[in-house]
Amino acid sequence: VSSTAPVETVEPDVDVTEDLDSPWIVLVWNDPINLMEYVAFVFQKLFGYSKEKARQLMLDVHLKGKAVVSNGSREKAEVDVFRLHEHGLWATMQQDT
Amino acid sequence: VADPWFDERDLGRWTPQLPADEVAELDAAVARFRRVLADPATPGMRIELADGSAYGPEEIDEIAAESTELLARSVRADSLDAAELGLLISAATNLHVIAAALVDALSGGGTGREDDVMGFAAALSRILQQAFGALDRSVVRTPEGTFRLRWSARERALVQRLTAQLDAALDGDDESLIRLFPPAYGTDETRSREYAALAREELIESRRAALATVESALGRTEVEADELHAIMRAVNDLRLVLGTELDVSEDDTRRRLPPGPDAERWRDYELLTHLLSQIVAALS
Repeated sequence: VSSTAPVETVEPDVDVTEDLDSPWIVLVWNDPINLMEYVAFVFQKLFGYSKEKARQLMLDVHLKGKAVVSNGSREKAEVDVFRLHEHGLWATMQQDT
Repeated sequence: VADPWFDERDLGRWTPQLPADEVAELDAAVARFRRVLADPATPGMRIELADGSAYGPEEIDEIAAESTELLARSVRADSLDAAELGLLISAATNLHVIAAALVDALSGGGTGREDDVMGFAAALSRILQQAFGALDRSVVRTPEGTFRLRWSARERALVQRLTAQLDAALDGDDESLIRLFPPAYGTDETRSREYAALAREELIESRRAALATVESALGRTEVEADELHAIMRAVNDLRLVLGTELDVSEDDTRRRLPPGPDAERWRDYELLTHLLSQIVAALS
C-alpha cells in the first residue's frame, strides 16, 4: 500500500484537531456467522478486487481476525464502512498511525 | 437436460430414487463400518476439530449411530427438500470425518477392517456428490443474464416469515440486530454514536428496501441481477439475526450434531446458509 496520503482541503465537518495527513483505514473483523465465500464476494463487489485478492483478504479476516480492506480520507472510509455494514460485515474505521 | 436426481416438478428437492441394489449395498457398507467401530479390537478414537472441540469414543458412537440412521432414512425417502438435504450432508460429512479417523486409528492393523471403512467412505462420497448436485440448483443464471430462483415452498415460506419479522424489528434495538449495526469507529464510542446518529436511519432504509425486493421476488421465479444482489443482502441479514439468536460460534459443531431443543431453528439456519451460498455462487 502506498504511503502517499492524498492532499486534502480542510472540510467543515472534519474535526480540526485531526492529523489530516494520516489517512484512515477500514478494517473488517472476523465473526462466526458470515460465510467465507460471501465475505470474499462482497470485497470483490464493493472494491473491485480480483478474486485472488478478495479471497486473500477474506482469509486474513478468517485466520488473523481482521484485515484492512480499504483506506483513504475519512469521508471515503465512512462510505466504505457504510457499504460494508449494508452487507452485514463487521467493519470499523480508524486513523492509520 | 435429463437428470434422474432432480425432480423438475418440485424444484429445490432431491428425489433419491436409488436402485434397490444400491440401497442394499449402502446398508451393507454401513453395517461393516459399524461393526469395525464397535469391534473391541478397534483402538478408542478421539476426534479434535479445528475449533478446539473434541469428541471421545462415546460421543463418536452416538454421532455415528444417529448419522447412519439419518443416512439410511434419507436414501429411502421419496424426496428431500433443501433443509433435509442439509441434514443429510451434515450426517454424511460427520461420518466421513469419523471414517477418516478410524482409518488412521487402524493403520497397520491390517485384517481388511481398513478396507471396510474405506468402502464405506467411498459410498458416502457418492451420496454427498448426488446431494450436493441437487443443492446446486436453487439459483440459476439464464442466458439473458437474469436469474431463476428455484426455491422450494418451504424455503419461500421461511424467507417470507423471517423477512416480515425483521422488517417489523428493524426500527427497534433488539439484541439480535447487533450485527446489522456495528460501531463504525470501533472502541471510539463517541464517534461511533455520532456516526450512528447520521447513518443508522439510512442503513435501516437500505435494509428495508432489500427486504421489499425479497417480498416482491417471492412471488416470481425470475429476477434481475440487481434484485438478486439485494436478495443476497437480505438473506444474509436474516441469517445474521438468526445466527445471533442461536449464539453461533466459530466453526460451530452443534448444528452438525444430533438435534436439541433448537433443532428447528438450526435447520432454518442451515437452509439460509444454503440459500445464501447458492446466490453467491450464481453471482460470482
